[in-house]
Amino acid sequence: MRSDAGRLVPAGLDGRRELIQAAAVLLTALFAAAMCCLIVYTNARSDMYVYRNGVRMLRPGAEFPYCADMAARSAPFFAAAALFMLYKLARYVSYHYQGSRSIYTMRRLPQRLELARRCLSLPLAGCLTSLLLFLALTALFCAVYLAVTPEEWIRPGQWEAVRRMILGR
Amino acid sequence: MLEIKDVTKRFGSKTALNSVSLSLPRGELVGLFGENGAGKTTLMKCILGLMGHSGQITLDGERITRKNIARLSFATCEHSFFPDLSGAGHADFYAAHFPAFRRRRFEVLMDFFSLPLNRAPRSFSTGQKNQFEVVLALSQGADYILMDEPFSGSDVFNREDFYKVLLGILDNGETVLLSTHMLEEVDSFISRAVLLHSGRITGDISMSELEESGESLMDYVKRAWNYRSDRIRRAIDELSGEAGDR
Repeated sequence: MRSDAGRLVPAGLDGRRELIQAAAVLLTALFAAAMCCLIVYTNARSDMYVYRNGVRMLRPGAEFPYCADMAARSAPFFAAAALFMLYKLARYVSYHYQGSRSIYTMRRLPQRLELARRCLSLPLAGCLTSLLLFLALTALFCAVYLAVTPEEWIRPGQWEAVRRMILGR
Repeated sequence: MLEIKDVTKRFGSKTALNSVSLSLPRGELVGLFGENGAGKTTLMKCILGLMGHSGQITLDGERITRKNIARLSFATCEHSFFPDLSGAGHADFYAAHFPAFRRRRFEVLMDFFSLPLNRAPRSFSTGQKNQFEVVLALSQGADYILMDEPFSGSDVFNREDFYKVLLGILDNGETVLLSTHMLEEVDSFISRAVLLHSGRITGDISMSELEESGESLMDYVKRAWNYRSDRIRRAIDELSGEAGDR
């Protein structure tokens, strides 16, 4: 794994360490996003009730938010992970100009895509994984939402709302 | 044969190379001389495809592309090694990417210069970095080895070692294009001198022709560049005159 990982980053960087770092950032984003979803859901449930004379009752006219709206609150964590990957891309490119001009060697290689592969592989994979994790968490959250939310609270068009959230329309 | 035909390179309004034409057959050790800003580095980078240019550069009649780029190697005073990759790591990298990489030569040269295989060049001294850069260029397995002021910052013993290596290690078919300011150090072993001045070739002579003419390389260069040695005397006289007036 060590030699394979080394081929995905600029020569001289520890490929395994870079992979572990990227994985740690993604897992941290996933954990934070999941906690966010849990907190948002819990708060939303609490907001459905009011206390009158010491008695807890449903707030009149209260509407339980769509699962998509709740899941969307986790997006910034995955966006931050993607930004970290873009930082890595900038770092990998600038590496070839620091301490020497190894860019001259990379641009002289017979393998045309070697420079692109070493600079882009990990950051692009990281961005894609961040997006996939967001989609997976959204799907999982909505499935749990539908399972644990009282049926009378669930507004129609939940998956339509998810589609709109993902596609932006 | 490396053929350079009418190569021009401009940076905005400044012309770094002006219709430069040059032929480099196999087996020559060519000194490329010129003042700072003459275009030596620009010429080498154009040959290697690191810069765009007009004109034509061919290797045995073919444009230089990914298919034949491995026949050219490069040692530069800016250094083109990977600062965090060990010597051994460099050998593996070069072997993986340059089919003709000469591992035995690499190991012998690393040993000759006492460079460690298990340390990254970031921790090397300036002289060691220069040596390592040259080792890589000589070991790549290229037919044409372009060296752009590879001794920049090296002491005289460092340079002496390099000359010994260069003379002893090159095969008959290997060509070196060596850009340097150290005229008097290299004139004993180069076979040809090419002079570049303000982006133009102003001189191109074989050392045997120069020897027959009885002129030293330094005198040839001064003549080609219209070097005016009297200007120093005049400047000193003017300064002395000012001091006298006070």
